Amino acid sequence: MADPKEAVLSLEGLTVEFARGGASYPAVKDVTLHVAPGEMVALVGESGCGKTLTALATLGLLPPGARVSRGKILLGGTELGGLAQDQWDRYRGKDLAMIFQEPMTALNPLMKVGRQVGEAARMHGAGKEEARRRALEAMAQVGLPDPERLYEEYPHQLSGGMRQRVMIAMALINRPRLLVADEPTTALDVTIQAQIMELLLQMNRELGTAVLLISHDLGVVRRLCSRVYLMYAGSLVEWGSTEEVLASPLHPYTKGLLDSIPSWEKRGTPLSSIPGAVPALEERRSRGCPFYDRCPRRREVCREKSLPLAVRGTQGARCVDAKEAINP
Amino acid sequence: MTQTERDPIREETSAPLVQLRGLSKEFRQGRERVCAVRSLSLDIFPGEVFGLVGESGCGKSTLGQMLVRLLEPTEGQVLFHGRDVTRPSPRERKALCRSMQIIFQDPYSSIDPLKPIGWLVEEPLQIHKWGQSRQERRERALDMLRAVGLDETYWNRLPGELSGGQRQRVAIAIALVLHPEFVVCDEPVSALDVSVQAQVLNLLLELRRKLGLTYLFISHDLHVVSYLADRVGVMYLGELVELGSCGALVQHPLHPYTRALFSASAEGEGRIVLSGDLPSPAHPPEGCPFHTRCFACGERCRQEKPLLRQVEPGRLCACHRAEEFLAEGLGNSSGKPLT
Amino acid sequence: MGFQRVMQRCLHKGTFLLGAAMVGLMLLLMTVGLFYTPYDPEAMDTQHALAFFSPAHPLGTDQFGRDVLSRVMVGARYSFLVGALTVVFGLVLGGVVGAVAGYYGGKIDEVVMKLIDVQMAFPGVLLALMLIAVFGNGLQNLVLALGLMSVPRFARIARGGFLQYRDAEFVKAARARGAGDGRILFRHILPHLTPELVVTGALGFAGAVMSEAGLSYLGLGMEPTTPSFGRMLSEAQGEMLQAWWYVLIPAAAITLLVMGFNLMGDALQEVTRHG
Repeated sequence: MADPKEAVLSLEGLTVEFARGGASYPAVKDVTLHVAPGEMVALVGESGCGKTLTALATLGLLPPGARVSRGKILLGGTELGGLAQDQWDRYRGKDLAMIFQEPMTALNPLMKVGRQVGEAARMHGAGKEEARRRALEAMAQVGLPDPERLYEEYPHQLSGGMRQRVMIAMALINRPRLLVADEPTTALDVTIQAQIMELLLQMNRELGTAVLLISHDLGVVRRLCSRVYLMYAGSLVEWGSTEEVLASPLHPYTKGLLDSIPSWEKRGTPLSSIPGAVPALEERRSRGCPFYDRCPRRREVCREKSLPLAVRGTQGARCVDAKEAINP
Repeated sequence: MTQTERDPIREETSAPLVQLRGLSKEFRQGRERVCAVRSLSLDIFPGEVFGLVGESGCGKSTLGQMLVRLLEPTEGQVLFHGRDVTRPSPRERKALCRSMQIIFQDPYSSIDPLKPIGWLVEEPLQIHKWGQSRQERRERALDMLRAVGLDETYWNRLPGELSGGQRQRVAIAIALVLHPEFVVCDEPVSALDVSVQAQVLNLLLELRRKLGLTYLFISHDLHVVSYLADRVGVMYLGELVELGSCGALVQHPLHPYTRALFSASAEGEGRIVLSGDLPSPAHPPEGCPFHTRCFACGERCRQEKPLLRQVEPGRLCACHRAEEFLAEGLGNSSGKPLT
Repeated sequence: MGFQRVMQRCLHKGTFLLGAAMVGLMLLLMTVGLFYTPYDPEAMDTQHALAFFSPAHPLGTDQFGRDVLSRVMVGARYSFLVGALTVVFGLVLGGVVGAVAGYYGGKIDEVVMKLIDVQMAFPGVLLALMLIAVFGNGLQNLVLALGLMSVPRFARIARGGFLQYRDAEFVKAARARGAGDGRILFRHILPHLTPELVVTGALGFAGAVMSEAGLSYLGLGMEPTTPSFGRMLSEAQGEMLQAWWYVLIPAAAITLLVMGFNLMGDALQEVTRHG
């Protein structure tokens, strides 16, 4: 794991609570992760596991009803946790940027593409002319053909892939230290997905921007990220280098997830699946292992006790079974 | 018009269950006419899972909806058991609904949120006046509900109380309660999480075995298709560009588009990243529709449209250079794998 | 949202309950009036004309000495009848027209919507006045006039709803299952529109009561002998200097009904729109 002191982003024990009907429920529970400069790290999980909420908390964009109740958000050592909204604006769009899954809804439909790209530069001190120049430059950099012409167009005139390129140009115009990418390829077609993945890799190489990639697609993660964190029902269950985690997972959830991906090789045999579904926020266990109810290797201790940390090389997991497997 | 080449083994054992003959569908978009499906011919055999893959806008969903008569073809024919069912009378139409069904992608929008689960599963039986009594229908619906892994406690629940995976199970129960022969699965697992997706895929395969179903499985997810399809057709801008057994396509794709598609999910080197965007279906390119993005495009491809033709037994391909690629050992199983 | 859920939520809203209480009071008066009235509402007693509230006549008497409470109890009957018939008329005709236009679309839709636009451009009261001038007073003509006036509202809502749900995926799925148009229209789409139609119905009811009172006030509504609130109001107006309290009673009755239905309608609307 990267040295937390040098990390661009460190989340330490981040807990995000949702208030519902008088009670509050932790949708993100005690998440600790680090992203080193220039590194691409993935935060992986199924829908409702809290990965997007973690990303939004990192940018101070939590939806109404949600709040950070514990933990720290450190951007290059600066604590962002308690910032007021206007203070966030100093960091957002400059040191921190985000791209979203659905580029059409994340772009303003009534504003010309070029101005939207340049807006972040304007807001952080660039003049009108400079913003335009930098916007065109950024648009060319992300591989948009004929930036001069596209500058004057509206989002609906672009294809899905081009819109996502525009989003990336917008995010990278101020050369942020960290880019949070929330499912950037999910809404796109397979061949366009491949293009956007290449672009993200290229931007990461050329500009040295660290990327926190939020995804449910292990294929995308394998292609892009050197390290991965897996979340289940709001908690981190396993983390480590992508290669190791995907090749020899420690946590039963990671194993289950990998086994349930269909492929040519698994033809003819039923896919092993994880029974049941991710519990709703209100129905989650307050103690013990979050995966207890669906786990094939659960023990009595998993129900109530806090879980031990199982470590193997760079890989870690919160699981009794994994710990015993490592040191029998 | 090209005819689908039948697998020689299948030819002997069975006649096709569903045949498409030069099927086309045009939509009006303002003043323009957009050809969503272009003169497509295809045979689907009893008991097989035919995978149909392609990117959004390639016409695969339009094709599926034409088969279950939610859309009327502009041209061409659909044959079911060899009988023309393209433009059925209202009575024939209703009878066809018993044997041809569809499962949609999004279980949140494809079932009526105001009706209890039991009512929904029983409705098709009621529409088709199945069985003798209310009691009999109820029994059958309950059996179906159990067959998809939901017990009778779900009977009175509303869809809003169910998770996505459970809803998709309900949608499957509704589609299969009349025991159809042929089911169009239109991206049935794309809206579901991986762990739930596996449950639903297992269920679909299990029900196919139990009920002797034939599936047209439409998907953009190549992992899913390569897991369960027997034969696969690849669509691009409303046309089939390649068709063959799943193994042939997954391991030795021939058409440059198929190669790019399957390499996107491959690991390591040999990844092909296509440049450019999908052309608009309203203005498909001259010549080969794929030539604007093709990495192996020649002069002929810009001028002349390649025909879908048999290039080896059981495999059709619409590429001018298909034979050339085959000779290079790209497409057949004896050749070197694509890396 | 299902209609049941909507009603459950409504029962927790103060405005809805207030409206329901107002309407409930009038409904109670009317129901009792069907079986029992303190006096014969037509019985005159000139000796006790324009009496103030008293134990014998809780709401006083009118210029002919008729018991006002008894007349209100009977008058409520007509207000409810006119309101209900108008809403049913508008709902059925407007609903069918709107459903056909929305569901089938195309040319039918264009023609129907043009006709409705024409009707909406024509002032409703003028239409009612015309109809009554030609065909004369009476319940039938009044309901016909008010009903026709309310058709466009219902038609627009039904059309919008059917248009919206026509291409919904669950409707497609039902069609693929072999469901006919009738089943799709009534079993699958209509329940989704019920809350909105009920809101329109409640507001339409209030509007009809208002219009009936207005037309009767002008002497154009019900037959002159019928004890309708509008007519009572116009009679009371002549006596306002001698008996100011008399005018309050029909005015209060109209207010209770109109406001009650409006409050209920608004609360329903709020619940269906915002959950």
